[in-house]
Amino acid sequence: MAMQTTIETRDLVRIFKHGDEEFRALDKVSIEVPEGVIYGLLGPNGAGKTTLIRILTTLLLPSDGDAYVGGYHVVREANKVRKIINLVSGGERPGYGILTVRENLMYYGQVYGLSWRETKKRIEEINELLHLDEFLDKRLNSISTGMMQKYALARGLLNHPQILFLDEPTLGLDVQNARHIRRVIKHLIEDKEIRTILLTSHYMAEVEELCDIVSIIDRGRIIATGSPDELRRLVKDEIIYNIDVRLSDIDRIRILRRFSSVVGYTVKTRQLTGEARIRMILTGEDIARIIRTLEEENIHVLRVSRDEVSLEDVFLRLVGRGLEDEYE
Amino acid sequence: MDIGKWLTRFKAVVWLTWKEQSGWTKPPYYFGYIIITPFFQLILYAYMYIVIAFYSGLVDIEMAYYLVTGVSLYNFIGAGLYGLIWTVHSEREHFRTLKYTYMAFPNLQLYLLSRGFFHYITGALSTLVMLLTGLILTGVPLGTLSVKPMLLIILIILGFLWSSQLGIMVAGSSIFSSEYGPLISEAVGGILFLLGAVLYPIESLPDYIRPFADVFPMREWMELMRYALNSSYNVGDPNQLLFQLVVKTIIYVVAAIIFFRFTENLARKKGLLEATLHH
Repeated sequence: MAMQTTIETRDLVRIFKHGDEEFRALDKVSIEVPEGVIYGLLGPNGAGKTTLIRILTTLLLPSDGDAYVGGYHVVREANKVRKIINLVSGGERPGYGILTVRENLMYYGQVYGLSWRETKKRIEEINELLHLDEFLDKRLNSISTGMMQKYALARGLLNHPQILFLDEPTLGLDVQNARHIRRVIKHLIEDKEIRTILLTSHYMAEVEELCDIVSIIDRGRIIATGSPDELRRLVKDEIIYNIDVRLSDIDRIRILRRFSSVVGYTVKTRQLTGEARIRMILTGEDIARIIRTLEEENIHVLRVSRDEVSLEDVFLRLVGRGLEDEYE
Repeated sequence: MDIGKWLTRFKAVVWLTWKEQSGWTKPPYYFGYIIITPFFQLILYAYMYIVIAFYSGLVDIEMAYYLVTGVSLYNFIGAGLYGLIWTVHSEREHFRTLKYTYMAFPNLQLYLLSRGFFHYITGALSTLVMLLTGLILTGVPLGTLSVKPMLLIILIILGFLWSSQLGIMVAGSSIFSSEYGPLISEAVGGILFLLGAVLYPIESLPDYIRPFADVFPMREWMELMRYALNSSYNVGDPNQLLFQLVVKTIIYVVAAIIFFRFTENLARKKGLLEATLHH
C-alpha cells in the first residue's frame, strides 16, 4: 500500500527583499514527505532549511508555489495546519524565564486547549520519555542549554502533534545531550507518538542516523532526494580518502585542485592535536601520485586511509563544497 | 466553538500575565506597587488643585471632581491599553515566544485581548483606590454622589471594548517595529490623555485639534463615567452621548478585526513574527 503524503510542496519560492536587493531563499522547492518517516533536510547554514520550515509551520508566507501539511494548505488553511503540528527550534531560549519548566509546560498545554488535568497527565507522560525530573521545578532562566532543548522538545510534544518540525534540534548541544535528543526523536516515530517528523540539520551524522529520507538543499534548491543509501550510491563510482596532515601545512593544499581526478575535498582542523584532515573524493586510483605531489610540496602526510561514502561526500560531490564551508 | 477550551486558554493567559507582572515580588507588595505609581500622579494633580484653590481663594468642587475622576479613570484605560500593546514587544523581543504562541493559540487577536485583560483588572483596582482617595483629598463630599450602577457596568464594558480594540490596532502596527513598539504604546496613551477630556474639556482645545479628539471614543466615555458616578454632573443629553459611544465602539471593533487581520497577514508575508533586535 502506498504511503500517504503528509507534507507536500510544489515549486515553492520565497524571496526576501532588502531595499533594491532580492534574495531567493527558496527556489522552486518541491518535496513529498510520506507518513511515518523522519524526513531530513540537509544543507549548510543559509541553504533555505529554516525558511522552508517557517513556511510549513505557517509563520511565513511563500512568494510563490503551494505547500500542504496534513492535507491542508499552509496559506489558506493555516489554522487547521497549526492544530496538527508543532515546532522545536534548536539554539534558542524561548519561554518565560520567571516561571519554572513545569509552569511553562502547564501554560502551553492549556493554551493548546488541554484542561489542567490533561496537561498535568501529559507532562507526566513526556517526563517519562525525556527525563525532565531534575529540572522540572527549576526556573526556566536558570537551566542549561541541554535542559533547555529537552524543555523545547517537551513543549513540542504537548499537543500530540501529528507532524513535528525539528529545526536543528541538537544545535549547540554537547555530545551526550545531542545523543539523548536523537534517541528520543527515533523513539517518537518508532512508538508512533508522532506520525511524521521533518528535521533540518547541517550535521551530516545526525541526518544519516535519524532520517529515512533525505533531501539535500543548497542555495534554496533541492539538489537530491532519497534514502541515505540511495544518496550514497550517487558516489558509487568514486573513492573516498582521508589524508591527515600537519595543521601548519594546510595553506598549501590548494595544489590538490591541479588533479582532475579530485572531485572535491573538505578540510577539518583539529587545533588540539595540531592536525588537519583532508577528506577527498577521487574518481580513480590516483592516490599514490597525489601523496607524492603533496610531499614534494613539503606537506607532511601523517596518515592515509580509505573510507565509506557519507552524506557529506554526497553533498560535496553534488554541490562542489563541504557542508561546513561558508558561502564565498 | 468549544467554549470550555477557550475558557481554559483565557484562564492560562491571565495567569501567565499575573505571574509575569507580579513574579518578582509577593502579592501584597505587587498590589501596593500597582496602586502607588498612579496614586502619586493623582497626588500631584490634587496638590496643584489645592494650591490654586488656596492662593485664589476659590474652591471649585466641580473642577476638583473633574480633575480627580479624569486622572483616576484614565488609569483604567491607560493601564489596559499599555499592557496589551506591550505584549507584542515582550513576547517577541524578551521571551522569544511570539511564534510559539502564534502556533498554539488559535487567534492572536484574542490572545492579545486575554493578555490585556489582567492589566484592565489591575487598572480598575488602582482607579477605584485613586478615585476614593482623590475625592476625599480635594474635599468633594462623597455623600452628594449618586452612582448609576447599571450605566457604570455598561460603561466599563464599553471602555474595555473600545480601548482594547484600539490597543489591538496599535499592537498590530507595532509588529512592524521591533525598536519602537513600546514608544508607540506610550504615544497612544499620551494622545488619549491630551485629547480625552481627562484634565480639561475638549471645548478648551484649539478648533483645529478638536476633530482629532473626536476620532477617539475617550471623551464620550469619560464624560459618561463622570455622569454615572454623579448624576448631577452635566453632560447635556446622556443618551445621545451613549449612542455616540456605542457607535464608535462598534466601529473600533470592526476596524480592529479588519486591520489586525491585515497586519497579521503582512507580518507573515514579511516574516516578522520572529523578528528580534537581539537586545
